[in-house]
Amino acid sequence: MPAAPAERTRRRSCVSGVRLHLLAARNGYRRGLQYRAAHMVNNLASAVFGFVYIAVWRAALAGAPATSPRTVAHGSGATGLAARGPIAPVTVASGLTAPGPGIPGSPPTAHPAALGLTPGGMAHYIALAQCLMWLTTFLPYGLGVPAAVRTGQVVADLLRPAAFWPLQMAREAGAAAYSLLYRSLPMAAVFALAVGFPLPPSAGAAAAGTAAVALGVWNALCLNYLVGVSAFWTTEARAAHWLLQSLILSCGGGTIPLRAFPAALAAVLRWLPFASLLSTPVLAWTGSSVRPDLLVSAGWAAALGCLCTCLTAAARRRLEVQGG
Amino acid sequence: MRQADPAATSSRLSMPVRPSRLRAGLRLGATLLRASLLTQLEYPADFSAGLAVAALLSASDVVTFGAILWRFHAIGGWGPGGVAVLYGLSMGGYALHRLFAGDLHSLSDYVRSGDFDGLLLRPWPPLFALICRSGRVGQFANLAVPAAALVWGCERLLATGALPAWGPAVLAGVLLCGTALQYAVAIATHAAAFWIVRADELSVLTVNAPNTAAQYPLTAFPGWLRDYLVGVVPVGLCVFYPVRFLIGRGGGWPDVLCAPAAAAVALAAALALWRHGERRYMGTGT
Repeated sequence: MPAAPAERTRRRSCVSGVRLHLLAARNGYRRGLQYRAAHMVNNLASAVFGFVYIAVWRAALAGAPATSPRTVAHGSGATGLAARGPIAPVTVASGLTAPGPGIPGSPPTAHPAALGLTPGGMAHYIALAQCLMWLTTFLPYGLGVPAAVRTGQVVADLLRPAAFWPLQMAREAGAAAYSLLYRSLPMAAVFALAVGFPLPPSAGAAAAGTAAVALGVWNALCLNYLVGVSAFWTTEARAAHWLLQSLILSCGGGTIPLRAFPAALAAVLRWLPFASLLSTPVLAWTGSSVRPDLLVSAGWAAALGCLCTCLTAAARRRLEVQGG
Repeated sequence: MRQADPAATSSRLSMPVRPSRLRAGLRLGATLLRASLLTQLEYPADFSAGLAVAALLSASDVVTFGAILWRFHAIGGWGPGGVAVLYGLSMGGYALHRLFAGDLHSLSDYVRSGDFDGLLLRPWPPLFALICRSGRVGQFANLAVPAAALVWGCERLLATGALPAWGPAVLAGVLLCGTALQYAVAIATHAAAFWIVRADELSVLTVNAPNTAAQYPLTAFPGWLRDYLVGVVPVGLCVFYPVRFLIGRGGGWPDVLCAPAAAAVALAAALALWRHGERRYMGTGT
């Protein structure tokens, strides 16, 4: 039996809506393709950042007590840089250069194994986090919304036959796909050659890791969109952008696992959305994350999605286009 | 497409700097910086928020090594005092140079849009004109955290006797050398825009990554990274080696003296590269 005209119209509108979002995603992907060469240079720099932090962690863990520095550097836990390159001279154990007193109020030097930190494990952690940063941390300022508000282009965006927020998200999802292929994967290859790239220990960990990455990308896009949409009220949202970057880098666990922070602080950080961007995906992929972390990510995904919808509706009513 | 007149550019660059012209240049620079400050103060809320966020962003660097040191007390045998001094010198030099770098870090935009043509028409060297534009007063906030770290680190090292009493004075000199080196690296990096147009991505490799690495003891790094930080972007010479000698962990006075030498050589090389690039510059034709 043929569908009623109203039903046909609804289906057609649905199909064209999907097409429009796919088109936006394709445009986001193609935008990245324009700057492939520049991004490769940037990938190299990101890899250098990764090697710096890997070396710093090796040095810190090698100097921890109850372990022989040489054993740590050459032990089974150490892979990649430590195993191949020259071992960084660690002189704490030999007593040649005492580091002096620690930071006031700090606990006795921790045994790395008690915290689940090994040089090889930290190398993998940093490598994964560096690859993820291009998907969840270094996103365009406000997803391009502040620039659109300033130039008035936002009017054309709001007049399109599709909701404003999903269309922005679709475009940036395309850009994220580009980042995965041209930024994260090349860097993963570099790290795989240098320090080894961790594979999930089980199919369950692979599924959890993939879900955590997807939730992390969603949460990152939502957080950046919230920064962008604030430009409807403030015009200039750059301070909010830098604040978000600062919070992600400090509290997201990109260069330091949350468990290395003081216990009370780590407990708080685990509940913040920033952990879902870097820490949770890395831990889920390596099979060390507990289920509550994923649930926290999912909870934030729902909450941030609702917040974006509400703020977009409010922003529509608030919009003032400047100039003529 | 228009090309800068090589003869004119060359004669302008090689023009001897007379004291009166230097005085006039400094006066002009101060006026432009003041104008820039007043422009930014027109939006006090935005200005204040920018300062607070800049300070917070530079504090995020401290979180990483602060947490590691809180937990493990040392990185490569260096305790909190030594690492704080390394961080203060590295990021302090960077923040100081950004304070007076104006639009130098935006040269790619000038080249891409053709706005660099306008600078060539001015009666001052384009590099000077670029540095005097849009003074980044907000960089004061970026300086706050490294300065605090430097003072804190020096106090701890002085208290334990690791740093001699005259050490802070030498460290102040090393900081100035580091600032000059940061200028040199920025000039050389952004001069690449005359050839490749988009040099901003390059600066992550030559400015951001080396500055992050220089916050830690070089002995923690593998050989290739140490070579990069000494031979390619020599921030290690203006941070790690002088500090290592001053706190008695090896080396000698040549380690301290190599800081001004590295800064001078790098600055001369960067200015030569800039001149070469400026002669090669071709406008967009718009």
